[in-house]
Amino acid sequence: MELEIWTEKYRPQDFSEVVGQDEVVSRIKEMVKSKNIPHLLFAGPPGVGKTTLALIIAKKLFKDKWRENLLELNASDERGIDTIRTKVKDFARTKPLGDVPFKIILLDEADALTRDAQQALRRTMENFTATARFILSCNYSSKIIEPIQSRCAIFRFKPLDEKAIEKYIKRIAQAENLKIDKEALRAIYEVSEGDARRAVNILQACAALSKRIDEDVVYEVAGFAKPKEIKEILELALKGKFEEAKKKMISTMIKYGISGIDAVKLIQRYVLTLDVPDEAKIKLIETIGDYEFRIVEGADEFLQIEALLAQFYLIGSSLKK
Amino acid sequence: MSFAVKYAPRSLKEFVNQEKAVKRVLSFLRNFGKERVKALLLYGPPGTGKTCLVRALARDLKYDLIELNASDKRDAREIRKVIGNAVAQRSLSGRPKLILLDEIDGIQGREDRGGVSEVIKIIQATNYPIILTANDPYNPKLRGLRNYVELVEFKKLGKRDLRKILERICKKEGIKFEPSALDLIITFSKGDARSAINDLEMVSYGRKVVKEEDLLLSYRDREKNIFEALGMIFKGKSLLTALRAPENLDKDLSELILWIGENISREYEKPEEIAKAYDYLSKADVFLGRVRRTQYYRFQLYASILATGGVCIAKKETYRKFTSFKSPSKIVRMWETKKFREILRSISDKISEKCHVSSENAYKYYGFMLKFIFKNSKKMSRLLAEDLNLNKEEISFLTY
Repeated sequence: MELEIWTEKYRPQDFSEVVGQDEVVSRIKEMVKSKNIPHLLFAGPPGVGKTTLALIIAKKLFKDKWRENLLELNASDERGIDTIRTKVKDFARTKPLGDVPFKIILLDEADALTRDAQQALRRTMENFTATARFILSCNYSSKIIEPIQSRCAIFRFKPLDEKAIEKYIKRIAQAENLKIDKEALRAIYEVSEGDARRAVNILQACAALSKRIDEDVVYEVAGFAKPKEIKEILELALKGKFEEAKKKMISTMIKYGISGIDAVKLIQRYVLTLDVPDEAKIKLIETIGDYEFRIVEGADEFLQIEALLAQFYLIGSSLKK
Repeated sequence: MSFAVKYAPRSLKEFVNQEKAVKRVLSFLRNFGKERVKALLLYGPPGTGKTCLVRALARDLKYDLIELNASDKRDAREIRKVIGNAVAQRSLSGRPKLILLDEIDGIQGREDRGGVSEVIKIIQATNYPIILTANDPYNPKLRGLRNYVELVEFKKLGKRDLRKILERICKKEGIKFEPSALDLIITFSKGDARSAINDLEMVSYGRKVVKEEDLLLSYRDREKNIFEALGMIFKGKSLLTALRAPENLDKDLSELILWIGENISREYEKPEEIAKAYDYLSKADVFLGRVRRTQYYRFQLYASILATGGVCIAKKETYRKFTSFKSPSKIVRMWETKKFREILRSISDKISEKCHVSSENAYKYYGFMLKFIFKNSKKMSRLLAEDLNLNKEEISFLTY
C-alpha cells in the first residue's frame, strides 16, 4: 500500500536525496564505501536527518537485506535497559547475512536513558563489538556519558538552512502536484525552524486546504500549530482574569492537540511580545524555564501549565501596584 | 438525653431551610379532606428534618400523632392493627389524628410481607392525614405506593444552616469551639444535621474547648469522600489536618491533585495564595512524575505532603465563606481518563510504527498535522486513516 504520511513517503533513500548536513553526509559516505563503520553518535535537534542517515547507511551496506540486519530501538519506548539488552543479545547473536561482518543497532533517543542505564549499555556495546555496530541518536550529546562518547564517532547535526528546506519542500510539492509560491516556501521555513519533519508536516496539512499554497495557507496551518489564542490567554492571566485564562488554555490545548511542552514553548515565544516592562519579561522567562523543566519531570502537563498561568497572574498583579 | 434528641426542633420556628416542604405539609394538613391527596411522602437525605417536621407540626397544631417506624415490625397484620384501627376510630381526646409511617423504604420484603400493599389500602380508606418518609422514593419496593402519595422533597442542609444549628447548641451547652473545628464537622456531615450534632456531642465530651486536632482523631477511620478531603486541605488551619486528607480517601493521589487544582481558585482569592498553592501542587506533580519514571515510591510521600500541606499553608487565613467544590472540568477529566489516554497511546504507537519516531514523541511531531487534516479534508483523512490503520475511536479522537 502507498505511504500516506509524507515524511515517510519522501524520506530520502539515498545520500543524493539528503538535503543539508553536507559535511556529515560526505564523511559518512566515505565510511560506507569502506564497508566498515565505527559506533556512531548522532547529536542534533529533531527533524534534521539523524534517523534518515542511519537508515541510508543500513540500506547502502546491506542492500535488499537491510531490514534483516538492522535493529531499530527507541530508548524512550523500551521498558528499561534490560529489555534493550535482551533484544540486542538476541539480534546480535547470529551472523549477519551478506558480506558485511556486522549488524547495525539503531538506538534512537539514547539520551532518554538514565546514567545507570547508559553504563549498562556501554558494557553491551563492548560485548557485541565483533558482531554489531551501534548508531545512537540524541538531542544533546552532553546527556550521553563520557565512556560512550569516547567509543563513538560523533556527528553533530545542525538545524537545516532555508535553502535545504526549500529544496526538500519543492521536491515534494512537485511530486504531489501542488503549486507553492516563494512566500509560502519562506513561511514554511520560518515556521519549521529548520526541522524538516515539521516542514513536511506543515506542507501536508496545507494540502488539506488547497492545491495552491500561498503564504496565507501556510499561516493558517501554522496558526493551528501555534495558535495566537495563547497570547490572549497570557494577557488575561496578567490582567487578573485567572479563571478565564485557565479555562481558555485548556480548551485551546485540547482543540489544537498541543502538548504541555509545545504550550510552554509557545508561551516562552509570546512573552517577548507582551506589553510589560522588561524586568517583568525576564522574570516571566525565568519562571517559564522553571516550568518547562517541571513539565519534563512531572506527570500532568495540564496542571503544570495551569500552575504557570498562576505565576503570570501573580506577576501581573504585582505590576499593577 | 442525646444532643440530637435534646435539640431537635420543637416548633416550626426552629426549622431551617425547608421552607417549600414546610409550606406544602402545612397546606396539606389544613386542606385535608378538601384535596384528593390523602398522603404525603417526604423524601430526602438522612438528617434533613423529615421526621422532626412531622413531630413539630403535631405539637404545634395539636394533633394526636400515631407513629410506626423502622424499629417496629411492619407486616400487613401489624400495620392493620396499629394504623388501621387508628384511622377507623375517632380519637379519645377529640383532637385530630396524624399518622406517621417513618422510613417506609425500610419495610422488609420478606419479614414485613404485604406491608406496602396494606399501607396502600389504609391510604385509600383513611379519614386522617398520613405522612410517610423515605430516603429514596424511587426504591422499587415503593413503586405501587407512589400512585397514592404526593412526593415532597427535603433538601440537603446547607453549610450555613448547619452552622446555625451547631452554634446554637454550643451556646446552650457552653462548649467553646475553634471555628475551623466547626467547619470540619460541617464538611464531614454532608448536609446531615443529625450526624453533625452527633459528632459535635461525641467530640465535646470532657472537653471545654474543642480544637481541630481533637476532631481529626475521631474522624480518622472513617471513609472519606473527596469533598471532605478538599475541606481538610482548603479549610484546615493546621498542617496536620491537611496532611491527613488522603487517609481513607476513595481516590488516589493523582486524582486528588486534579481535584485540588480545579478548586484552588474557587477557594483562594489572593494572587499570592493562588500562585503559591499552584506552585506546591506543581512540585507535587514533579515528584509523581519521578515515581513513575524511577519506581522509587518514597517520592510519593513528598508529592502527597506538598499537594495537601503545601496547598493548605498557601493561604494567609482560612476563608470564612462557603465554597462549593467542583469536580475537575469534564474536558480535563476526559483527557485524564484511561480511555482517552489509551486512544492517544494507540494512535502514537501506530505513528511510531510507520514513522521511525518513538511512541513517546509521535503525537508531538505528527499530532497537529493529523488533527488539521482530519478537520479539513475528508479525502486525505480517509487515506491517512487507512495507511495508519486507525479504528473508529481513533478517527473520532482526531476529528474532535
